[in-house]
Amino acid sequence: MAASTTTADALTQQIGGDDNYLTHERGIASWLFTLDHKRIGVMYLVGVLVSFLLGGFFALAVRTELLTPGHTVMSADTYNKMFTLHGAVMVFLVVIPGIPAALGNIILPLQLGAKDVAFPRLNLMSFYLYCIGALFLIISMGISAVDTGWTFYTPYSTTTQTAVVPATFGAFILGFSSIFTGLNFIVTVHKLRPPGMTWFRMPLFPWALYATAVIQLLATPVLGITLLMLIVERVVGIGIFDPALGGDPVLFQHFFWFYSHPAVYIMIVPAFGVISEIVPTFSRKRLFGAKFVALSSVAIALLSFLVWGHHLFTSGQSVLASTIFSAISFLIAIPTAIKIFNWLTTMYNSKIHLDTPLLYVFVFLWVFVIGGLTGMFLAMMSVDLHLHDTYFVVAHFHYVMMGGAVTAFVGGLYYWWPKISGRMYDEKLGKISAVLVFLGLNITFLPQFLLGSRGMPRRYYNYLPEFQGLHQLSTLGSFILGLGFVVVAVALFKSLKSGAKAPANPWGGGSLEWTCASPPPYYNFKEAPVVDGDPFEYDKLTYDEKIGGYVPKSA
Amino acid sequence: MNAAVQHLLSSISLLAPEQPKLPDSPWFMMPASVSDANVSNVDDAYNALVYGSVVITVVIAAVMVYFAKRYRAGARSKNELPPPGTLDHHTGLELAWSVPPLLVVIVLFVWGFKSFVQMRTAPKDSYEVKVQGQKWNWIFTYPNGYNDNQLHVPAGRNVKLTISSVDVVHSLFLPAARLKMDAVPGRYTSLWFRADNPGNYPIFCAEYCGTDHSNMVAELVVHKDEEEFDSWLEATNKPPDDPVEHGKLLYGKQGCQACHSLTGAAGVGPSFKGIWDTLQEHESGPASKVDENYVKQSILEPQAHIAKGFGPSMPTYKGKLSDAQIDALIAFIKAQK
Repeated sequence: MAASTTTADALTQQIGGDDNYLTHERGIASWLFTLDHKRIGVMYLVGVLVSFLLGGFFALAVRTELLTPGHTVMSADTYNKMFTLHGAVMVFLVVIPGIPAALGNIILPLQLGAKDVAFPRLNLMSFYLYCIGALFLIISMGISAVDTGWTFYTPYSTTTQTAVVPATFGAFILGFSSIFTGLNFIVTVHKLRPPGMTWFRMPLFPWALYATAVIQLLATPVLGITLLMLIVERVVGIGIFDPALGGDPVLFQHFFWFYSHPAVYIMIVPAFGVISEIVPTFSRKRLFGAKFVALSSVAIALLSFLVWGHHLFTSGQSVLASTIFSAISFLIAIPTAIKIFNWLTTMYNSKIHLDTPLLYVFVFLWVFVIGGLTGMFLAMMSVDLHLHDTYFVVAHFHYVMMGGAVTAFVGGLYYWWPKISGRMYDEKLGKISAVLVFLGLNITFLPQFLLGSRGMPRRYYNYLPEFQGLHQLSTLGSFILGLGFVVVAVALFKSLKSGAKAPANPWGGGSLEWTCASPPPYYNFKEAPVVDGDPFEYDKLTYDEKIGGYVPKSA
Repeated sequence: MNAAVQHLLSSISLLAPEQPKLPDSPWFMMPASVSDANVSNVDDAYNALVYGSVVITVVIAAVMVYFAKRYRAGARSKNELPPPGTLDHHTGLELAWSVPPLLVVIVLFVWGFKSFVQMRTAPKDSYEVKVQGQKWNWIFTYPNGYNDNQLHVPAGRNVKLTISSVDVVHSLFLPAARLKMDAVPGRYTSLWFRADNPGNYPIFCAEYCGTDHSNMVAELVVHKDEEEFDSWLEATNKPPDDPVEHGKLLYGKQGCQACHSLTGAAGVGPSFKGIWDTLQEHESGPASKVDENYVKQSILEPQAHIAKGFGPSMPTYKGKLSDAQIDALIAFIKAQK
């Protein structure tokens, strides 16, 4: 899709030039003070992966404790802190910034043929806010951790003796990091598209990031205000949420979910973008109904603001309010279904290369279909009265967050890894990891649907002996899942150490990031590429066995 | 605290053995119910969703696997052919998978809405029981003023529960009735159900409330008829003559046992063993002797003096216990040597 001069430049750089963003400057300061979106993205990536390790440790601690009812390895108070930390770390430090801030930062400007995001300094500031927010969470762990659950419901959170203030302040700061990234991406998409790239010639990943950024920008401030009010109530005793001071605890739940339900889409919509990149590339075929897929992301982003009340069906919320929220929640099923069917249809009559990224898409489709369908159970008011706050909900959102967002993140990481690192990874290890993640996910979370249906409430340290078998199965699954991610880590480390040098376009992708060298040069593109088609023109590429990648067909 | 756990768990697992609380077969997903007729609106919808979801998931997975096999390309090469299909848009197809799902979700919404309204509208003739959630037990108050930590109801009678909380948000969860309602401090919420099947069923707290959240369990006892229920209510309402025995009963039923052990082990609050007549240190202020006045104040104004090493967790029992009951508890604590 790019003008031929640019691709020729890219080829020269790939063969001869050694200068890329990783080697352009050296030394620790060149990283810490960099304004390069790719380096900031890499630092985000490291932050996200380290946090994922930490959150995963908490998850396994929780699952281990649940091997038996009552005391297994830790006290009830420790257990309550473990699941709180698991939730807070995974939501605020891993899944929310995972795809947009780490992968998006690196890939978005490349896909737009731009030299950087619109505001490079804001981008670096957003990264440092992420670090400071994370630091506050870690400080809170050092004091006494938090035992409120990641939802910080009042009045429990205003009366518990644990370190609620540093933890919520951390989340408050992380909110700004997210807002700045969103703002940056919105301006980048609007202003930095190259000549010829109309909205519908834009790849699907920027579409998804754009929809996400709108939610980040509009919803996150509400979280900030809410957490600030919580801190004010706790520290100064101004009654906002605590009925003892004249406040209303359900108000907190409304405020909290006004952000946190859209936040679910901050996590999953970028994943849709990644899937929409991988499916056509590995099918060598234009994405079916690309316009619908793009617009459905926007539809989901807008609808996401109007469904928060489905978290409050049992809170004493009026029947009328619950009815409206239930109806709108059901509507989200439609754009979601469109996406799934369009991805599937793309593979019809195609040429499928079953490499690791596509394998992760398959894992994603299986778990996301289950995650989506079980959402209908919860949108249905009568059934939700039984399933609300049970393990059914836990299983549902792990199928969506873990099974959807995290598998898409790992799939995207494999997909763009050659571009980011300049190295290929071991395909066999990649496939083993996908199979382990698939097995682990299902063995961990399928039994939890059963547990919840049978009445096992969530956040329980102790449980009825009848639940033990399913809990143990779930714990077994969590260790398989953990092993799957260890294999991912091994594959990526091995690639850094001894991976083959990556060509510019190993998979034959049609978007602009594949026209610059792997890893990309410091300035990405010497001049803005001119775009004259959409990103699915795979017939203009041909495979070159000498370099192990795709090159433009010579005219 | 561990003793309390054991106590609560055993009180649940020793329930009438002929009445399973949970299904034995892993293929049957919902737990045993208090009334087959009354929960069918939830169970039918749930089952329809399960079967529908399984079919959709399997079909999508099968198509995905079939495509992966059928259209699998060989190794990448220079002579790779473009895919046989070029279809990239088809309005008919896209309508086909947008409109029918829309109709399905409308049906589901209406179905859920109708049942929900019914589940939320208590019949006028309901027997009313007040429920109070507190860290970490439930107190059920019957129309005659008697309160208990178990919910007893007669079979066949509509029961309305008016729910409140004295501290944080709790949630009263009756899996056997497929019902749940939050106990929110500062306001009343309610739910209603009718039990037809006599037996014992678990009641859980479903909204996280701290240390002993998972031990905030109670029991729903469904008596076989009004007569049996009335005679239970009459018998339990008569306190034992011996104040120590009476105090022991209250100790179990009012939730004291969740935090105050009789073994000397410190729980969320100090143990009662040997506490009488000792000098109690406080988090702030002077120490005081554990005597009648001190115990009475601790029950009615628990935040007045916080025992050293403990947190301000205890709710007040003002208005919940009569003077005679407080006297009985004092006698009971006195007897814990």
